[in-house]
Amino acid sequence: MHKILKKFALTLATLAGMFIGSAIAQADDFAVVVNAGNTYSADDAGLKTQIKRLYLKESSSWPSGDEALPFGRADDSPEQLAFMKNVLGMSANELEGHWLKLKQISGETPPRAIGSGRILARQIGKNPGAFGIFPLADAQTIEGGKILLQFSDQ
Amino acid sequence: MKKYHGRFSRTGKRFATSATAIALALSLYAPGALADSGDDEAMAKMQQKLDAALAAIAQLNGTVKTLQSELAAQKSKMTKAAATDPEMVAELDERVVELENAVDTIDGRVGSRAVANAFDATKLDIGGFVDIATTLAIGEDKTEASFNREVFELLLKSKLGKDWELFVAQAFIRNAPLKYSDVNARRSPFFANNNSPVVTDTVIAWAQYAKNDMFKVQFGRFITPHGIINIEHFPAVLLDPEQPQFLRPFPGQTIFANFTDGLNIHGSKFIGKNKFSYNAYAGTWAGNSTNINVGGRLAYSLGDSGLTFGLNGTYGDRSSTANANFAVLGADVLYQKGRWIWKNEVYVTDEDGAKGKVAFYTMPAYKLTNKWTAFYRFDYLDTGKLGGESIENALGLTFRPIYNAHIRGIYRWHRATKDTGIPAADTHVFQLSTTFNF
Repeated sequence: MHKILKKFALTLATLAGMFIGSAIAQADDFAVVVNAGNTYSADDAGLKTQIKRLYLKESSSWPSGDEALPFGRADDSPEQLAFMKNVLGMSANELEGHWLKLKQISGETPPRAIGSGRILARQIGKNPGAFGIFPLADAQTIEGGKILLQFSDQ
Repeated sequence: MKKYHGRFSRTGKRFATSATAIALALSLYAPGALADSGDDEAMAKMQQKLDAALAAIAQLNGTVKTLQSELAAQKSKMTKAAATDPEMVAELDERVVELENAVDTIDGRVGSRAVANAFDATKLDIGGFVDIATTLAIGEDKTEASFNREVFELLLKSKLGKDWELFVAQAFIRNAPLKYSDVNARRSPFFANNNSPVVTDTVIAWAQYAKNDMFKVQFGRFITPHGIINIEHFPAVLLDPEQPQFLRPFPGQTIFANFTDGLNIHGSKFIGKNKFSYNAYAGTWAGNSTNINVGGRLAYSLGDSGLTFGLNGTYGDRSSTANANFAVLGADVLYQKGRWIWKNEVYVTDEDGAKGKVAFYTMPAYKLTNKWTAFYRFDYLDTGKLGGESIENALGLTFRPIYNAHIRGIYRWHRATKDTGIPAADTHVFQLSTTFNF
């Protein structure tokens, strides 16, 4: 009887392992890419805080003094959804509320959303304060840009 | 490439065929020659010629082999190139598709229409909203209903240069505020000036110089920077566009003026996870353009706690015709985290030759879903005048079917409390309002 139980437990463990393994494999990795000349550095929590402030236009410049130029991605793109969840820590609804408030009070608008990764890469390459979100695989090959923060969509 | 390869191959074959034909001709010719001459010397010569021909054939064979190997090398190179070409083609295809998508998006937005240009601004954003309300007021002596508010407001923001910007909110207002026609202004509600001509009001018009986040200078007409709701101000943002009692009538200066014409120095700074912000202003108010009022606000947000504390103060003169100095002290607390938004403000005033005023409200709101929010507000105001104390309880449900639309249903129970010789009076107000913004 205990052999049957052992077999059952083994099967269960194997299935659990497969499930966890597939979940890990399915987690997409993304990166926030900045201009290659950007010198800002901090730990992950510090980077997230700084990026969030700049993206939400609570701050207008990097600590170096360069004016920040944040870019978003298409609303329903995996990059943007992962960024909202893992870096901004906000729901789409909260983000909309934030921009509505800023728009009405001070005329501020959300960062320009760029659909094409190549066009976004060009913008980052030529503007010192620019930053945007890419899938990690694409982020590693951007000319004139460098990865500031990596995050997973988990 | 295939064409080129085929031609090369055929040339080689032709060459090989010709060489074989020569060899055959020579071999056929040689025995005849032997029979005719029978001469050993001639035989030897023929043999030499045959050897030479065979040598030539061998050389030609070598040449053909060389050509064939060159051909094979070129074929291999071309095979490799063909292997990389599809990637290049695919990448170029992808880029063309991206460009076409971008052009398609731009064309969809612009098409054959004219593109608007700002005269000199480096950036121009235009937005606005329409706010509509219908209200039923049930008073002690009278019941009235009206489509009492239609406001269209145009917002324009332009960037004039690196550090300079301009923001204007121009309102076109058709408004019939709720008033009372009885002596003590508490029993017989009516909607004043309904269907009156549209009133235009430049609600906001400021230019701003920003040295950095910590130092910005606004000059022009700006929202008086006190409290929470007055700063939020716009109906598209507010859960209740009527605002608390101390901010009515609109625009007015029950406690402080909703708007100020003057100079406002403001800024903010992050200190670790916390945020400090300040305002210091000097200016005149509607109804009093000859006295400069001064005031300020300090606010501190505590990191991820969702809490913001504010301190407010102002000093000035309420009237340009009489001596009516006053001072206001106020505090506000905002809690905004998760599904909760809880706003609280309290103000006390000291008035020359009159009793001080007191205003207080607390307004918790809870997001039921992403689209539905419920709120309650307890609102107290004492204007310091006879019969000037009132309490309002408001209960509301708001709905955002889409980002740009805000629909609300609000019930207000307004009680003008009993005062010397004046009995208390209740008004029950039911209001449906919508705000559409772009």
